Amino acid sequence: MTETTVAPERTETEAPQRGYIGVNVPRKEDKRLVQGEGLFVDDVKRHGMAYVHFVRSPYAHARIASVDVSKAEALDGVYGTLTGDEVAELTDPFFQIAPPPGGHVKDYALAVGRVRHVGEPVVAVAARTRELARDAADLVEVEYEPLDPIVDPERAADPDAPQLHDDVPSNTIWNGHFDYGDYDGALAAADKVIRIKRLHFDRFSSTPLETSGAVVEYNRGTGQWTLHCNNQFPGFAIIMMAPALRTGMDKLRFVSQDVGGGFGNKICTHPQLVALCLLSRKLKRACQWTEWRTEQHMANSHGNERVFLDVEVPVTDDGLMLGFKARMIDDCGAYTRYEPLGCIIWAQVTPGAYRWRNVRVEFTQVCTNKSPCGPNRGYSRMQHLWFTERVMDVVADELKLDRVAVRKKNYIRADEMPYETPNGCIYDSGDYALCLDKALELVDYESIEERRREAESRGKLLGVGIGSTLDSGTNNFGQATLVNPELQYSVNNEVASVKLDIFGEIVVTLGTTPQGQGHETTAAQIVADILGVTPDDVNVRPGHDSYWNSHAGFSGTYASQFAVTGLGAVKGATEMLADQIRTLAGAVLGGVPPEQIELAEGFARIKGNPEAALPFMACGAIVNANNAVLPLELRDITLNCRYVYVPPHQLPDKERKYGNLTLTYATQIHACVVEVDEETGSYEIVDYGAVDDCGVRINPQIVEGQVHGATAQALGAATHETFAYDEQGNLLTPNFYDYHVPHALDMPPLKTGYIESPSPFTPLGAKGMGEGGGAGLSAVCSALQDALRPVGRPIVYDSCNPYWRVWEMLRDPAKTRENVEVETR
Amino acid sequence: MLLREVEYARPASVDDAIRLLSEHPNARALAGGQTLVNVMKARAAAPDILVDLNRLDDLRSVGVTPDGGLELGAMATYTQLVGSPEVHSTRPIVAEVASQIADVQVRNRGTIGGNVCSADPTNHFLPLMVALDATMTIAGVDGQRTVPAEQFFLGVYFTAAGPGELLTRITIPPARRGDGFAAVPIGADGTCIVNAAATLEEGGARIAIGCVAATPVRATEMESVLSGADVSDERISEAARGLGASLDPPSDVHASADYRRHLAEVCAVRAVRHAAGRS
Repeated sequence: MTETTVAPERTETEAPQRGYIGVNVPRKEDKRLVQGEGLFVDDVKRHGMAYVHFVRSPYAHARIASVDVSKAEALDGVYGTLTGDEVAELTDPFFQIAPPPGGHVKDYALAVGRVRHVGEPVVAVAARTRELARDAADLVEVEYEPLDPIVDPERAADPDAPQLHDDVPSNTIWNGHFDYGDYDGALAAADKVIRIKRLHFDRFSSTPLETSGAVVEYNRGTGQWTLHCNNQFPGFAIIMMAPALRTGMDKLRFVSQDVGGGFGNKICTHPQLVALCLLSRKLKRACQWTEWRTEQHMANSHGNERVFLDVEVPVTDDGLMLGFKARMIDDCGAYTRYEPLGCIIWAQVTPGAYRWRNVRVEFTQVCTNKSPCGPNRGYSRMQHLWFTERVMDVVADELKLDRVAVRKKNYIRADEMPYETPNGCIYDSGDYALCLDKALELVDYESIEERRREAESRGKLLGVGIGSTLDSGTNNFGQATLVNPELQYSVNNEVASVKLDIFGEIVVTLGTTPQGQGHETTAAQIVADILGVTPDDVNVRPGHDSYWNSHAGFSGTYASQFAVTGLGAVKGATEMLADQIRTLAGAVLGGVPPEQIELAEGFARIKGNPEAALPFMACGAIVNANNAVLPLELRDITLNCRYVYVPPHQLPDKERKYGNLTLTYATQIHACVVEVDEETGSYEIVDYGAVDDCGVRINPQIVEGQVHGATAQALGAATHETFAYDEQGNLLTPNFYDYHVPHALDMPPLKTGYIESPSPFTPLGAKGMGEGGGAGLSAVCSALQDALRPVGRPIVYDSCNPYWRVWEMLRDPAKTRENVEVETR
Repeated sequence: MLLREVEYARPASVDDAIRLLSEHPNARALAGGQTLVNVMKARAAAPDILVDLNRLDDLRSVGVTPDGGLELGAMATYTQLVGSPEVHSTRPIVAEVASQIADVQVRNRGTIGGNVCSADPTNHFLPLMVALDATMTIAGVDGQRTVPAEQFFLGVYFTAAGPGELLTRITIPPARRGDGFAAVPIGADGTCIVNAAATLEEGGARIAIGCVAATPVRATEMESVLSGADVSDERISEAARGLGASLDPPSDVHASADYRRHLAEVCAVRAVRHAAGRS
């Protein structure tokens, strides 16, 4: 017998007294996702759709002498092609965030005249099937004249280095001087000065389970493009694309439902989207593209590589670090895209978790013949925080100071919060020392010496390490003016709309583009508390559609901010709706003032007289379908409320590069224990404790999931994940054979802990926390250096430490020690 | 899956499979597909026809030979080997090594025949087959022949099973004093950086190193030092001295040649100790 009754889907969660905040409400998204009923971009199909394949450059640097698509176009089933020449004719180069010289970079949807990295799209081919498109791509004949590539960022500015872009001399995109406090005074006051010649943060990236993709349709009657895609920051994509396509912003409609991971890598997909827009218009049919894994590795945005040179740290005899000086070279790859914003974003966490008051940084960003960089989970701060933690361990170890004690001495203290950093950022709340104690407890720090001896008896070197990082969230986009004073960006915003429909349904529309963060669930928790219903009663529309008109310029899902901006907007819109319901119900229930109406159990009722109640259904019906009942003076009640949350930011000071660059600063203090095989240099993470503080946790289980993910990302980056290039600019790790992400067996059992230091600056006391600060990266490097101490005290100076690097440290520790010098004053 | 257009045949008998392979000069046998399909997706290989062996149940058998050795059908999956009582009672190292290959999904599909025929120098079974002195049975239209493992591996992705031929069976002699295997993979279950296998027998040892050349390399000097009865830890370490220097391994993103030379010695020692621990 066929089952025809559909059981209502309800999550049986008791509402505790204080509401749904802090409750592990089961995720609304999970049912469709675990049952295979999600809708991802590759699930979108259109009649007569063309499949697109990109012909990509095999060279890191070459002039394009000629492109011949005739054989490809002659193949039966091929609908057409798009070349760089057409792109140059039909579009303008993308807007550049950088002022000159970086502003001179000319970046198009396809390579125009020259290719600058292996994997750069050169021609797009559209055909009846994916396979045909790929077959046809093999028939495209591109003649290249190879040019010398520049791969090493430290050599990019050399006078003899090949130049990537016209009018960008020395391959230097951006250069800036940051000087806070009194560095010279600090140096003069120091008892000891530690100098580190070079620290190096490797290039890597997150690898979302779902690669990038889109189905783009063009409506010839209206000139309207609809982009079903997994771009995670449509607001940014639209401001890049509309001028390039010479069209209006509203002509680009972005739609997504489920997105299989973003991590920032899906922000800069605008070049491919423009190519699809042009093709769909040219071919008069929907055009579909799904990136393959190898393409994702070769040409999706990578995380920035960074070198820290001539690092100098003044220290007093009692272990207080007074600040630091360093020259930093950041490698953004072949094109700038989101860059050079990374040149300022690190400054959100200038002193890391420490009371370093005197900082002098010379920051340079160069371009090289490698895949373009873009935001990647922990964007730009992760590199910098790793640097601060390496400095902390190197100084502690060289001065023979206890690593825990020296951290506690230098940490910003709980009683100093909110704390103003030397460059004007306001750390909102936190207790780093307490988090450290908890993390050490999780890995049973007391027993470490005993475990060290036990490991030694098995031929293993055991070490413990600490990572103290911050996840700064809710950007002040005014910081963009610190890299380019001409930009007209400031603060931030996010939108939500909440309405009550005819039958009393509560419908929430977000401006965000969730990629697994559980926005439907946490939004419903907030709405439920305000309207006196359960999360099951709240329908949060999945995904994003710019035609819902529930977005603003900075809408999207990126940079650790939904708990503040997204839920701030949800709270604002729901409170507006609640006010309207109370006003309406008060009037209908006989002229009762709104403040005497309470919202509970799906009713608007008079306080103390629950019999006198108007169901939400009646409210919705009156406003939407039964207007005669609506008193004339209440005709402005719509029960459809849109709210824009704007964080309380100010414009930073461009001259001094000073101001609060983000609103919240979540804490991650992680501790890790490694065991190194002394013979081979291979190692295993055998114990791991993660303590996170993101203020009020709306849904602790979702927070926990983010901690797990951020930790896996960091452990992958610390151990094996690196986009390595050879001297010719060939990517050596273009697939999962060679680019080893943590598998289930690679992950240690994670022990997690938390404290809650509510943010005084946010609507709910919550802080963004999705990115994490890469604490695991620092913790692994720290633990390796500790483990290797008995064999010549080598120094870990790279962020990624595959076994061969560990073996080299074991083999020649003295070589690594040449990197460090201690001057006693 | 974005393969080039390819014909597909799923023969019901080994004879049919061999006929198909011999009729089409650019045919490839499809076993578990864990390597071949990926290579085809990358278009590094583009056969005209795939001859799918997955219906050839004859090739899945795992049995004990009359003399107490092991006879493995080429289509025996890693999972089959891991759980096989015949393997455990004769040469359990085969099951142990199979259990180290990638993940459950790969082990459910991947086969020992596919592993050795794909002949990727980083594969687990290459040095093991050489150390165990396995015999490969290759069938063709003109009948079948046998080739010792050491002569089976001819180069990167290149074996003695030529066009029109099919590896049908791997025969492993009865248990010797002990077998061992050691590897340094990338992460817990990734590609091997270096691996080594060893068999100790009366009056000798067979040691093969993987990932250091196009084909597994016999550590003959080390074997000769270990030809006596003494397989103490000290003796084993002493025997391995100079092994690294005798090799000319490749450098890549995972290891320099020097690091591989070093790991070859470490893995060889560990493999022999592993074997000695069972003797």
